[in-house]
Amino acid sequence: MNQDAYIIETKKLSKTYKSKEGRIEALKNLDLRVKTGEILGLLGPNGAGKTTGVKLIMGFMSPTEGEVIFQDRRLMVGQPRRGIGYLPESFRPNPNLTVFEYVKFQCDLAGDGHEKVKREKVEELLGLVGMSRFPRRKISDLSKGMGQRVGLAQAFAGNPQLLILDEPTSGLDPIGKGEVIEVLLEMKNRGKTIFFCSHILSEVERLCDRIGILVDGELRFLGASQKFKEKWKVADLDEGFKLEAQCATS
Amino acid sequence: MRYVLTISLVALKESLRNRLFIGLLIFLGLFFLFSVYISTLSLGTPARFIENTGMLGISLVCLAVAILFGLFSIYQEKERNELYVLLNRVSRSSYLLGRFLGTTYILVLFAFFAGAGIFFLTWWLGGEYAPGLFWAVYWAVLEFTMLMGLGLLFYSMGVGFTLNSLMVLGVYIVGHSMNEAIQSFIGLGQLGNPIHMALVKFIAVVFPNFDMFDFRLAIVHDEAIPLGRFALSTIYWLLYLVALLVAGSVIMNRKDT
Amino acid sequence: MKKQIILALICFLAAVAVNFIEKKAYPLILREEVRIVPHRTVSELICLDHRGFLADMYFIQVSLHSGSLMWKPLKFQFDSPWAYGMMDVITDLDPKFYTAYLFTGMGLIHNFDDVKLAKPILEKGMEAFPDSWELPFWIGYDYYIYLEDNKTASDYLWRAAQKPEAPKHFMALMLSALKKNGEYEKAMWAMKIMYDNAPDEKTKTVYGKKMIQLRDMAVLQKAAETFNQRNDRYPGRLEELVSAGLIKEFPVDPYGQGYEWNPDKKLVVVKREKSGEN
Repeated sequence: MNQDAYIIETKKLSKTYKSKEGRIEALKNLDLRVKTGEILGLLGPNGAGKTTGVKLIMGFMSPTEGEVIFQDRRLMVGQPRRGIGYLPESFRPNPNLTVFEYVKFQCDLAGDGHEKVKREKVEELLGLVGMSRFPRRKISDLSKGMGQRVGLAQAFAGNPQLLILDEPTSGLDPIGKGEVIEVLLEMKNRGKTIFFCSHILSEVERLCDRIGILVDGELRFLGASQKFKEKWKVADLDEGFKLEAQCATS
Repeated sequence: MRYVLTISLVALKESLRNRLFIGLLIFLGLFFLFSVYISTLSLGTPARFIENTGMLGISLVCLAVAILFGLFSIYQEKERNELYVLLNRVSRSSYLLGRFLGTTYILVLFAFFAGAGIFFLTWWLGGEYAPGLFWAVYWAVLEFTMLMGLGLLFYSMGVGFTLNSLMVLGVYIVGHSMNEAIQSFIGLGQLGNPIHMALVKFIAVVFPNFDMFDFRLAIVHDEAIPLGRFALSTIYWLLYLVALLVAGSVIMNRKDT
Repeated sequence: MKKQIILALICFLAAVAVNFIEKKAYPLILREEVRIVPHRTVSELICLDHRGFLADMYFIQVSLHSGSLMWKPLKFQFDSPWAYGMMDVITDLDPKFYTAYLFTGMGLIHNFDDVKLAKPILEKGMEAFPDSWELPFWIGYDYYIYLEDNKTASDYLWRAAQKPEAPKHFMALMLSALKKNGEYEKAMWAMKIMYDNAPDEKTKTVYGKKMIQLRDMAVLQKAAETFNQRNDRYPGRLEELVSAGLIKEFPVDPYGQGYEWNPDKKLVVVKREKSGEN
């Protein structure tokens, strides 16, 4: 695998809203490149523009400026992102379906092929996220952590090359978080590229090859976490992050 | 098309398992009882009373399905952020069409069940064989799929659920009052401004006209619906519905989700 | 948990008891209701194209009001203008609501003047159901029985009799109205139908005699009208018709009573000197 090949990149990606207070620049000229096979974590405080950036990449919003290139193709707004598995923030799957039915539904939409393969694939996906013991359980009866794992399973449906996850461990207990991180590492071992947003620094540091720091819509840093600590001359990512955020507001 | 069918079948499955499904069935059952009770006050014409009340029941149930299954579930999907997962895989048009089709299945199911129930009651208690009631089912399906299409259009514009429901109800009421309103306005128009008259006529033509699907009296009196009128109303429905769904898709494609 | 359930039950039963006592202490006083006739346009607007259903609901209201006079205290009056106004709206909402028309002419007549209120509604029904014999029949019947207006009664009964499936059993009524109105030719036609449908020979004989009587009266009536046209007055006595050359000889009444001229009614009538088989 060519480590310098980029699976997805954004070029001057910007989003400006009009409001009563005037114009709000939610995202300013985001130039981001995700290397094939890496895990890139996008960090930032609440309201930094992380989810806006993700929605722009996924084509749910139209950018004020800029473009998104995926596997050398320009992505259009509103176009389905085949080859990208997506898990949105605060995601809850359909409560009226069972775990198996829901993941199968997503596999059907991801276009996996004929029936037999889909069943095996569904079982494989459920096994991957540790839900193989609960195929017939109704989603409404699942805990939050189990629901999140189902969300991950659906993101993996269709064998995507890139996974975009928005706050994948949000709302989970420490055990749940740990399980999700293990799954993501397993996906990385399988050659998947992962781009995710978070504001939990400890998991970012553990998982990511590189991190991006987004503050007030601007990308302040992009690189290895070690280099970020060196920039602010801190031992802890947490301290560096606070300094970065304070620098932005001053 | 495959994606549309997949989404529609899941929507159907979801609706069948929804507790609301049981609730509406109970409501329908109570309405059957009500129609039977009302028929006892009919002074010897129970069949007519059962049919009229039954057709009202069909309308109410279909309206509930359109709003509660059609609109509410789609808003819930957005609230759960599941909408984004689906739009990642399928186009917005396919999504909208799939949801529309899924709700149509449930609508047809309820309308048919209601129609069959009333048909049975009319025969058993009213002593009349009234197959025309299944035409009432047909017209109800046309009417309420069109209403749902309108709800989906408002949804695509980003209108919230409460406002959407109220607007849909408002359109339902106005759409059923077009002929009567026009007759009243014609009187006013003749006294007033010709621009006002032209505006009223324009609205009457452009606004959804549910009077096109009103053949209830003909069904109760066992009169045949002229083929020309049948064709005209069905074509009107098809064209208007396609326009609504296409407009909804276009707006949803251009709007930020 | 058990205590709470018992507490809830006790409170509920106590509330029911209080409700019961309240109803005994302050019994419901029946008051005259305010009744309005909703405008047809308003009704059509609010029914959202469920005209039949709204017509049925209005119909129930009217029939209950009409029927409730059987059990409510007699101080309540039957509200004719309201009831007939409602029937008008009902038949506008659903012009083919046949039972509503029948009810208007049959069950809803409480006061004699109601007949005049019922007539336009029944006539509306006659337009919607041109082959119905019942609707004109009931107009005729009501005018005959309640208003003793034989002319109107006979007109409508005659119209009813011409309808395709008109039964024969109201011919006697029609005959009476026609005869009282002096329409002897039409009465003879009705009599002929009764004669043709007579159950036995004895009845046939009776009807045959009546036919002859009616024939004679028709001839005399026609002659009297001609006499009036020529002389600008009606005959003082029917024998004048013979001397005027309008009839050859004076007809003999099969019942032996004879005929005479009634100057007030301007009609040929049977003499009432002795009781006959009429």
